[in-house]
Amino acid sequence: MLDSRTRRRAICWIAVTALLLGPDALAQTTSLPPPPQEAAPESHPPTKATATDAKKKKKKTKKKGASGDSETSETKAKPPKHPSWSPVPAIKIDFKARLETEIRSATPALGLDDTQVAWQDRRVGIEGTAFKRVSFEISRELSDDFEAAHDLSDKSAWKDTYVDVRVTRALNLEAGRFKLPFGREETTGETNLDFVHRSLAARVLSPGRDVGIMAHGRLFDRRVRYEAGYFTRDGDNGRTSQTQGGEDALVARLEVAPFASLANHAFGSLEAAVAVATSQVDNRLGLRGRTVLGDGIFFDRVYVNGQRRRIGFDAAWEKGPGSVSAEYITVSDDRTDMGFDGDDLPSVGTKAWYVAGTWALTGERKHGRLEPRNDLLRGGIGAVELAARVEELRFETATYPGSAFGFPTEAALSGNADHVVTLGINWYLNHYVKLQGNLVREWIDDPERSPAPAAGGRFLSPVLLLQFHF
Amino acid sequence: MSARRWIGRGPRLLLGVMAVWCASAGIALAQDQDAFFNDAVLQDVRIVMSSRDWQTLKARAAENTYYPADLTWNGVTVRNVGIRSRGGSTRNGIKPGLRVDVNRYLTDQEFLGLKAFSLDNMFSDSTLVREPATMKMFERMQLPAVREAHARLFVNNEYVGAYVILEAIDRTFIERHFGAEEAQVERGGYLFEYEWAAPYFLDYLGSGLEPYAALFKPQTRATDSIVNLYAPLEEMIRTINESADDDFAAAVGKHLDLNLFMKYLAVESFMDESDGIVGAEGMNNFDLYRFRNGLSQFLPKDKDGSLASLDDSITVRLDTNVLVRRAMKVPALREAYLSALRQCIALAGEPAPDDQRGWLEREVERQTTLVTPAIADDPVFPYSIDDFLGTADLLIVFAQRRGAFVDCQVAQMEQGLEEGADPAAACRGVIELASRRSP
Repeated sequence: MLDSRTRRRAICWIAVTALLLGPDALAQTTSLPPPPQEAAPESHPPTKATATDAKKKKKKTKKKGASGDSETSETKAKPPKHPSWSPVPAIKIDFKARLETEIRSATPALGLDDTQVAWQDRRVGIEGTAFKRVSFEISRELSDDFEAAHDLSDKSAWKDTYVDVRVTRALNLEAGRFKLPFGREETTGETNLDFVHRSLAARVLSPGRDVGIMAHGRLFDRRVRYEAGYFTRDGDNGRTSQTQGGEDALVARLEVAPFASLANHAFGSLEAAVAVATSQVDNRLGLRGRTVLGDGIFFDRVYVNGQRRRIGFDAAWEKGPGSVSAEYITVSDDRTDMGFDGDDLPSVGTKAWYVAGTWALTGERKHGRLEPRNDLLRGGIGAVELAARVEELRFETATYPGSAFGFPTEAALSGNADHVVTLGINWYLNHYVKLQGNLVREWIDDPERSPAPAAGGRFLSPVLLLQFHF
Repeated sequence: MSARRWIGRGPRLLLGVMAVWCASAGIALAQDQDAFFNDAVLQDVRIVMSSRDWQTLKARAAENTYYPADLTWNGVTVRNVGIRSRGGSTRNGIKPGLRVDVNRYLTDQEFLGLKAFSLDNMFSDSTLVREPATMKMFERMQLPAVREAHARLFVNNEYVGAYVILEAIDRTFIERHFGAEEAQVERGGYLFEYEWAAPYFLDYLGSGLEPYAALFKPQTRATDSIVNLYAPLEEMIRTINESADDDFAAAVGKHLDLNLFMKYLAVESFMDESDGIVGAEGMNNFDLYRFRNGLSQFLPKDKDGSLASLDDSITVRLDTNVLVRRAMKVPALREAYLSALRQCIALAGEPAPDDQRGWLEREVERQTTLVTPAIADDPVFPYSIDDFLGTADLLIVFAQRRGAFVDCQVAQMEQGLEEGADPAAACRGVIELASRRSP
């Protein structure tokens, strides 16, 4: 049964949706410039990348549209993505907002008998460009997001807050607070995610955001993209309100799109990347394994001391209405001088991987977030997409000399893994509203360290996400 | 107003609704730990778990295996908690002591703000009163003590016996007594549980850290560097043993608040704890907490061996423990011990406005009265009801006469006794006098 707060929230969402589904509602309410006459499908960069990169991709897509793409010709004129303002011709500022509510139905295996409704995001921000060479973004969460609310990680209310200066096409300099260039899914914006939650590989092992400076650019006719930077800390995914995480992070990522310059090549969108990161974790608690929705800890963190090393590989390919992506990340934390005689202990090792795929039932071309050919109540049903992901997060057995005396027990330190299969359906009502439904099936190797010991460590969590953004 | 104008106000309306929800989102249920630990009433705690798991837990009571269960108290239900057998010498499968880990499986789950508590079977105490009464004395002496309350325990709707609910000594406890900074997960203080293995009197065990790891089991920061965990402990014990007599208080005072320690010792002595710091089998039944600033403090636990004997001396076994023996030779610390004993005497004898009996006597009587029906119905109570009533009478006598007896001994010590002389020797008659004065 839904409580009154849930019902109230649902009513409001229905009102918001109805508002947005009305004819040209947003365009008429926010003093926006008139919709562009050019009938171009609006592409979204699959990764956060940078504002500059995003704009380049947009231009590229428009060029394709002009060359007679049949999908484009069918697309109707739509309002612009963001309200924007240009105080002077050389400066443009876009206003952005995102509102997300997550509904989780009862999960009896965990003893959760009631439907739970929670905000996931309430974010506002601006991004813009100045004098063609400078781009910037400031965004802020209005309250704790899902991960901060569940203390999965220590999320600052300030999200991306950076300035990016284009020196040449091959060299851009970015400074401020933004995502460390590590991991494909972690650096993908939430509006472009195919699932309600990012993979465990992204949320637990990828660094996330922090303050730093980075050089990035594209080389060899856009076939190679590089990012390299220094960050004062090693990302907010690796710390919580009670744990500090690492410091002094050096991160680099190299992405190759070998067929990017070949027009209409079947593998033209294929991208593969490798990333490495190092940081210092001096006498700090390391990473821990929590289940997808944060219900349980299947591997508790242990103190580590020394260097943290991350290595990641990822690849993605989109063709027509389908897409495939995969990622593999390992993390190793040193434990120097931690034994009885000040001797080194073996490092703590963690690895994670996922393989994911999507298919647009309504036939739209996949490029990050789907853009419906025909919005709901504007001659169509929006865009509908199926998604599936298989993943694993595994912590290797950690040894500790205290185990000989029972702290902690060897069983508590033995390796453990969470295996997850997620099946999803995404419904893009229009450009602004997305509804995602996921069935998340998890099973933990050691049921005693799972949130569902009576069910052998296996449980199913149905979740629904309603997202509004502009 | 036209529909179009309403639509035009949509975003503002939406923001208004969002603001209201933002304000209401963080409302938490105001539940009360004090009600759970209210020892003025007999609490009913209900556990629902697989019958097979309950039988297995009892059959394998020596193991620390957890089992999932649902917990209900006073209309508050928490599902999917972890329950295991607990206890040292009192651990058994007939009436198992239980530890309830509320967040064992669901990480963020709490019960009235608690992450864990215990249900103590008090198997070695035929009254179930010794420990709660002693903890109350620690509390009245303004020393950190766990909250306790008597309870009837029902498992799968079947009454399984009278228990005592014990607050866990964990981060929640540390935060309540010492503040949030001390309770931090990564940078908080170090909490150790002393594990009795053989008689130990705080002798120096050498510079290697393994012997200390065998005795002091970390309850917080349990995977920290071994040197961080034990080097300060080794240094403290070395200082206790090897510092010069004239520098003892200053040197040890860098590791331990000695005045607090003497107060702790005085409470154990007044309540005649036979299995505490100067227990008959060496040190036992305490936790040691090391603050972020390096100072350590003893925390009492498992006081079911207290109120052992009315006529035990306040100097019994004080010479067995290195720390106690050396501290008692420092005049200021000896005075702190005697002063704390006088404070115990005053508190134990404190009358109520409508009852001239002392607090300790009233407390023991109140608790025994409260727990009597639970014990009478207890299907696995290991003593007869006559044992219970007889022992309860003895505890009342203890409460009536202990103050006068200790008072006499304190006076003897203040007058100056020869080294090794027992102050109780001249005070046995006081017990008889007190007996004649008692109603």
